Amino acid sequence: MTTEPVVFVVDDDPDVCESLSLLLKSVGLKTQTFANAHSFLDGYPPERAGCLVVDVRMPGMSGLELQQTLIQQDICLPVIVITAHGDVPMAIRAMKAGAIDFIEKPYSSQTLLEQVHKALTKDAEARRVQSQRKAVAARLALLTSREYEVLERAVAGQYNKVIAAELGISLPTVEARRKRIMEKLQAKSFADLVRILASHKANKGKP
Amino acid sequence: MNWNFLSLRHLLRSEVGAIYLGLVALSAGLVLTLWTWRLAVDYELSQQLADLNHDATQIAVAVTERLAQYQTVERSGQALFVVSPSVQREQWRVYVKNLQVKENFPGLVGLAFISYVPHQELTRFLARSQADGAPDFVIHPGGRRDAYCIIQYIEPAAGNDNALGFDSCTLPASRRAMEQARDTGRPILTDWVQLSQQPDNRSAVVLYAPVYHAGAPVQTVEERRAALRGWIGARIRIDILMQGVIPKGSTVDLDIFAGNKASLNTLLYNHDGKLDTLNGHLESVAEHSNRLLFPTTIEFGGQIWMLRFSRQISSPYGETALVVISGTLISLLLFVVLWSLGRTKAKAQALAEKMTAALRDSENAIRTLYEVTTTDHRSTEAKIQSLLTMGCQRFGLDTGILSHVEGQRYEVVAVVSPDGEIGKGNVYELADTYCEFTLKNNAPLCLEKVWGTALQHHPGHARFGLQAYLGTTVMVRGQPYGTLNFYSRHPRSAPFTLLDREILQLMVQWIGGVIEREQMEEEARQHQAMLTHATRLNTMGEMASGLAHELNQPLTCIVNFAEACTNMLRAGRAEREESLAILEKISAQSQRAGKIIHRMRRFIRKGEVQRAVVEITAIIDEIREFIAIEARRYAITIHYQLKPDLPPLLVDRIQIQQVILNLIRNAMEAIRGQDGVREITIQASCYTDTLAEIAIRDTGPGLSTEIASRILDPFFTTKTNGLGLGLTISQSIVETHGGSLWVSSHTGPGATFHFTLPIAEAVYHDN
Repeated sequence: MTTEPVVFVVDDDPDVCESLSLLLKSVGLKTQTFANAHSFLDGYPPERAGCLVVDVRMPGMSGLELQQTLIQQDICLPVIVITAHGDVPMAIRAMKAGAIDFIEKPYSSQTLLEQVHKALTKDAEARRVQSQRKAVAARLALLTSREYEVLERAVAGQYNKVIAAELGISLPTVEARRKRIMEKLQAKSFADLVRILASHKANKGKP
Repeated sequence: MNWNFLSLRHLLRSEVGAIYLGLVALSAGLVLTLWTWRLAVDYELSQQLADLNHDATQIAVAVTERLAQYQTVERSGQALFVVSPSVQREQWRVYVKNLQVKENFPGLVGLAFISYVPHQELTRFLARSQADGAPDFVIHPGGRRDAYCIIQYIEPAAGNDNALGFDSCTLPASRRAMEQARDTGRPILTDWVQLSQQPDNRSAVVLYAPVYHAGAPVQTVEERRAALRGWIGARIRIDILMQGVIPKGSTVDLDIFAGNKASLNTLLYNHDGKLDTLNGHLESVAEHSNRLLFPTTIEFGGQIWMLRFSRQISSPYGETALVVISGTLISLLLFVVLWSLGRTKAKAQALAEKMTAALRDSENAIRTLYEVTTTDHRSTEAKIQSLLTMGCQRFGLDTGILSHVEGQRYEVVAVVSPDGEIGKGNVYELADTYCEFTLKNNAPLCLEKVWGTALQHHPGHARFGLQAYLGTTVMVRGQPYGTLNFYSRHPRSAPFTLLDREILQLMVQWIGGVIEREQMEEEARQHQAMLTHATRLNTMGEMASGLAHELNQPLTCIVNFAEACTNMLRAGRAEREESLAILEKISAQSQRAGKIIHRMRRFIRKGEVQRAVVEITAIIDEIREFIAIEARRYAITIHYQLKPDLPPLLVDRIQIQQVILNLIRNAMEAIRGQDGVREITIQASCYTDTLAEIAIRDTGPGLSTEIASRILDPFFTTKTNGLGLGLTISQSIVETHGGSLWVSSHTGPGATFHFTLPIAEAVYHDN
């Protein structure tokens, strides 16, 4: 998280690469350029924060194909698609695949830079959420299955008495388990516990 | 000879020839008739001659018989003197009377006894005679002679009065006959004798038979002379003799001549009895010229008589007139038949020749028409001009016009006029021309002479003075286009023939076809130009995204560089060198953008075909960028295999670039979806000495035979939204340049499209 984010630029036109790189540098961003998608895939370190600015029309793998490839490889790098000639289907396809923006050349540098910053912010946020989720998951993993049963019912708002009856255990056992759950999950209050579990469930299924 | 033969044949074929032939037949018929008639006449004459011959023979026999009877009478006289040597006058009279001479022997006019009396016995004789019942008996003519031949008795006395006592020796004819009779012992006839007592009877002769003394030997001439006592003389009138011999009613005339020669001197008997006048004789002889003659001779009493029978030739013409009339009629009939046959034949011949001439005429006209219209190297305009000239000659009219009529507007499209008064492009009112009627007519309008007809007040005549006119409507695509018309200010003597109208129709059909073809060609040209342009625009449209991308690239770069520079300058971090480098980059990118726009404009330009001498590499270099853009888009590798030192071409570069781009785009479409090798190779090489070849080869799936066979057809496409005209137009462009376009290697990987283009040098060399 401490490493400086990098704007990766993939365009077959070296002039475009050079000029874009110069522009980004001029606003203090670090850039790395690639002449085509394959060389990017080969040289990109997934842990590296940043964003991707990619041209749609390129020999070999196109920008949209590269976007798909990244999704398949579970690389959640924000993508800004730029194109000299875009059309609506192409834009829809890019946006559906999670692109930050679809920008037509020639663009105003302001727009591009805004989107680049937006992408970098999103990437940073995403990386932060991902690390939190990983921490919650790790704490949840500490719970025993009996404790998890109790947690689910407690979060659902059932009284301890009801929980005890349902699970066929005694009320003091329920209370003891709730205490251990609070400790394991490092929850300061019941509300905190509910938020952690909701957040976890919301992110469930995401990579 | 051959010429003569031909001219004879020609003559016989003509109508005059028919008359000649008829006349020849008529002459031949008449000659034949004449000949037949002559034969008939000859036959008739020979018949008459035969009749005469028959009659004459009968008469001659009768004459001979009668003469023989006279001889018999004499012989009986002789016998009398033998029996009774001293016959008395009375006895003689009785004897003769008993003979009944007149009844039994017509012509015998007197039977005399002539005594031979030597001079010394004369006195005694006289005495004896006077004593014998003739007292006045005298001897005459008088005079002394050695011997006398005295007619002692003659009976019947009537008619012989002067004869008694006549000395017959004084007549030379009698004397000769008597001497001959004496010497021969046979009856001898005299020549004609002039009997004194019968002055008119030159036709009298005397037959003398000698009387010898009874018992005297008469074996020799001397004994006979010595034994002579006298003669029995029978006087014969030939005319009387003949009265009994020639049958009554006979048309035979008989002349008798003494001797065998016919002459006036020897004429004994004339059928007319006109012996007394010389004229009569002449006449009778002259008459012989138109008489049939049959001479024959009889011999009697030592004399030869010629009996010349004659008969008036009865005209044979009456008998033969039928021959002449029928012969002449047949000949005339033959003449008429031959003449009319000949006339009919000559007419048929003339008709046939006329038709042949008409056929030849039409053949010539059509050949001329064909020659005029099929001379390939001439322009259509020149052909129409020739056609108009030919029409003027053919129809005998001064001016020929091909007009285009729209509404009331009559425009001269092509014209042949003697003084050039009508010019091409002249415009008239339709109502001023006869063509207004022509256009309403299906058939050609023919006017030989307008003056005096209902049309004479029409402007065509009243203002322009057009007399003769021949015109018809030119139809183009089933619609009236205008007229083809010929006219003249002079009236035409002969009417226009069917052939004239047919030739006009042929001309019109040809012209209509030509105009139609030109219109269609023009439309096709326009269509082609539109299509070419449309395709170019389409091609352009297809490439627009690529072009936009291409143009946006430098623009993007410019924006980036400019913003970067601005940012650096604002931040105060900009180094001078760095800023300058960025500005130079901006400048370079601007130029890049400008070039792209320039090329694009050149490509889009819809221009006329402009052929120029251009290097093939220059053509391809100008579109390399476009190709590269497309190739990048589909990740296609382009290989150029341009043979160095290729001679320059004579082409319209834009069109050829369009063809190349079209073929490359096709190739790209064929391979862009495939996973394998995506390569396109562009080759240029020499095909022949005069043609260069450009080939576009791809690594696609190739073409099936079925598609390959149809791929050049218009509107054939394998694309979902293609027009199917790209290859067709490419092909027509190549062919317009004199090259050809084809596809090869249909099977197996890849297809190759080839086309050829003319090498400039070869074109110039040719020209």
